[in-house]
Amino acid sequence: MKLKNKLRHNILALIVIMFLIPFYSNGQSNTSSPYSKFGIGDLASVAYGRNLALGETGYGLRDMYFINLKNPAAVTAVDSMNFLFEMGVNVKTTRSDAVEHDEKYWNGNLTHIVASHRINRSLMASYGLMPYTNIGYRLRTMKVVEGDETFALTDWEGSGGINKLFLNLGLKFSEKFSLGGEFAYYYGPVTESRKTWTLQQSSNPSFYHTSTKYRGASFKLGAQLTIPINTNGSSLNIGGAFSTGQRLWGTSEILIQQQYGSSAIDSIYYYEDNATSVFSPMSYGVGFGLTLKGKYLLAGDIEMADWRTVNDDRAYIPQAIYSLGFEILPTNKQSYLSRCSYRFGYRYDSGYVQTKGFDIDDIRFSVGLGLPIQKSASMINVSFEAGQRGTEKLGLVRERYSQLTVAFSLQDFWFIPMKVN
Amino acid sequence: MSALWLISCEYEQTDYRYNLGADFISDPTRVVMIDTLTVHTYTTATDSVITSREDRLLAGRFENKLGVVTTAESYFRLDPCEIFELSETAVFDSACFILYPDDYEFGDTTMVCDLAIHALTENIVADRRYEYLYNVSGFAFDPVPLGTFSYDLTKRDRFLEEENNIVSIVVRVPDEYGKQFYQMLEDENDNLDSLLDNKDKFAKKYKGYTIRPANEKSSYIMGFNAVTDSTVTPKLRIYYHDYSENDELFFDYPLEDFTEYAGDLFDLTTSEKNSYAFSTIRNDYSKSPFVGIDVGRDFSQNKIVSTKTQNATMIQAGLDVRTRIEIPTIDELYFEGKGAVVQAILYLEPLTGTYDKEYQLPSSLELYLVDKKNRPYGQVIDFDQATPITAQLVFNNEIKGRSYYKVDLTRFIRDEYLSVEDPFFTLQIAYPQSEIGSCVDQLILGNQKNLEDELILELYISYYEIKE
Repeated sequence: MKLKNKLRHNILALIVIMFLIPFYSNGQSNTSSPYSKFGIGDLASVAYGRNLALGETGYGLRDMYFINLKNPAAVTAVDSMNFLFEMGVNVKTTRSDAVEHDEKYWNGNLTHIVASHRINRSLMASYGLMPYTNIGYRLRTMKVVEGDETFALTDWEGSGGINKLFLNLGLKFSEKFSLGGEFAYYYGPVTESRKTWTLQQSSNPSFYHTSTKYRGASFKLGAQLTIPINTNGSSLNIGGAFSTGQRLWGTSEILIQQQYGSSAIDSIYYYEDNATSVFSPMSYGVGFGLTLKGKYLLAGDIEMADWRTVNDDRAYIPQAIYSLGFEILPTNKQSYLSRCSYRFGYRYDSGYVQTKGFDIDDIRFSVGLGLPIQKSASMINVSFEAGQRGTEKLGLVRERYSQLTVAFSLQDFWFIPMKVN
Repeated sequence: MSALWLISCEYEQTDYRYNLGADFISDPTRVVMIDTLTVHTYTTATDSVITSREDRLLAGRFENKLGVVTTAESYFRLDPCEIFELSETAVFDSACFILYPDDYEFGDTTMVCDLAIHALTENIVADRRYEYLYNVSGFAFDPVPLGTFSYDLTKRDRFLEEENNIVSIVVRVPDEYGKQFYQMLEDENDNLDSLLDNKDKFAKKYKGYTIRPANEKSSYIMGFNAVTDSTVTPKLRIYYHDYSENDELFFDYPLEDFTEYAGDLFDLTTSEKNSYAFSTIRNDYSKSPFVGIDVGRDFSQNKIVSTKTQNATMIQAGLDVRTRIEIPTIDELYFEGKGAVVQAILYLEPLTGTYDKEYQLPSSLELYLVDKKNRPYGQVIDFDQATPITAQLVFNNEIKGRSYYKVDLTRFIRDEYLSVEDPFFTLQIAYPQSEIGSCVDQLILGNQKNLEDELILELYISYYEIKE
């Protein structure tokens, strides 16, 4: 009976994940930001559910009912009796302001789908699928026509994104110390089209289309240490994680076209080639989670990655992310409201690019609610984030966004037979 | 589950594109303008041009800046006059040709155009197959003119007929010649054997007339109306009187109305084919650098390079002189890398001083693909496979001598660029062929080495970064 139940859960989770892989393969258009041209695109959140509302903190968070993807060691906190399944959707509205242009757009997507459960007494696992980066941009650049006094303009259009399929394994050495590792496989399409035209010959543009299927892998190592403070429910968790840099490689299909007026388009060249590899640097971070009297939680993370080490381009800078979270923990009372969690967060991300002398940084605030479902440990986690990225100065773009994410965290007992059965 | 993806699209689409500066992206595609590609130009001649079936006859002579002398002569026939009863008291007075200039002139119009009318001594015979007559046709004529006249454009008002407000030229012919035409009607009235009954017999006796320069002087070439059945139809007018009131009487032998002619050529389907009015147009190149262009059996294969003709080429209607353009080194565009031809524009400038007003230049020119022997393959067409490309005049009213023709050669250059074979065809620029038989307009165009009126080929090429 135990085995049957376990299998049932496993199969369910796998089916759901396998079902989603092809959808993810098509790539998403979960962003429409000119800044997604940089590097590998807009980095998606690395953690969801509870973490998102806490400013995306998580290195020092351990909870038996929540999946914390930020630190792979945190998986050992999941109760060995539990099977956790989490899935989220979001909807985001962004208002982009540039000096001479404003626009507003909406998009929404599935954010993540994860399952977590024990493998044996000391080894726990979580696995799932989530977007890693999102790409969607429309840009224009200008250059001088050689041998002439006119200009050639280039319109850039990019779309696509990289997805992440991952497996987390956590090893519990003692009640106080755990280690975890995350193995991730990245895949996804990125397309870019350039349309080059001169002011005089605007009806005869040249096109350069690139369609690349990227893939890559990375490994992340995390550790967590629990320091009990006293017996009235106060404790301190500290944690850290290190992620190897990664290289995304793939093959590109390149199509070059020349258009003549409205009646003719020549395909000048078509070829397949190894894509220019895209690198992201190794990153490391530390954080803490302080639980006070079992009522409050305070969390803070710092994360660093130096993008200059993998890019020669002067546009890249070292990235630092600081985040803080505060949570009013649920208490075991009869009132529904007191069984809810109330979360607040702040996050500052320096970004990893600089253009026209400005860092494209990102500041956001978040609030969130953890809503228990009936009397189970399942929860609906609602997070609302509001933030701002970039600047309006020198023709750059300031993006102000708000995002609502709803994550369904479903808990079931792993080794207890269902009552119905 | 898949329903979730339905919302994963943007709801607001705009075409706006942000410019984040060139700090981190710049287009690796190079757009290059090249105007140094070699362009050779040549002047070519054409065997013959059809000049019959036009509403205009040309006569006169002019010499261009490069010493080319163009001579035009008109040939035409008359119809018998309408038969009517002359009064018994009628007496012949005089006979005159009446010609109507149609305000077409080309050449030095400040000079006086001296012309003469001669009677032909040879029958006009059209081309057996197509029934056309050409600029190179010509027929023997009596060297003694029936009359001469001078047309002075500066005194055009003197030629104005007040009642009709049209310009006409009256050329009196000798009385003994004119009397024959009076006599024909009288004979007809007397039921004697007359030529007026039989058009063929009439045409055999009065074979036709030619209007040609009266002397060796060059001035300009003028056009005469050659429409039939109109007030401006050229005619031989016979004046007589019969001692009645208002007895300044006349009757006319008008320009042959080929539309009514049925004679020997009854098998022809269109009556138009019976037109025997045409113009002969010849160029004398002997004093010009183009000497030799019309020598040889197939002289239309000749080409004279512009560097030998004062860095200029000619285009002329009437004789269909054309400019051949060769761009032999298009493949050199590959030296810079692989790319695509974005646009190619050819600018051609008429020589400063060869024109003054916009109407003196044709508003457009036609382009043909020709082989090594100048044999035409067809008009150069645009990317849509249907529209012929033309060179359009851009006239500069502000600065004299800064007008030019502009032609988009993108398709031609692109085809040659993409072709791996040696070019089979090259370009020829011609006067619009629909007007070629009824005028003698000409253009003198500078070549690439002409400092003042330079030919320019402007190419825009996109070069790509291609790994191979």
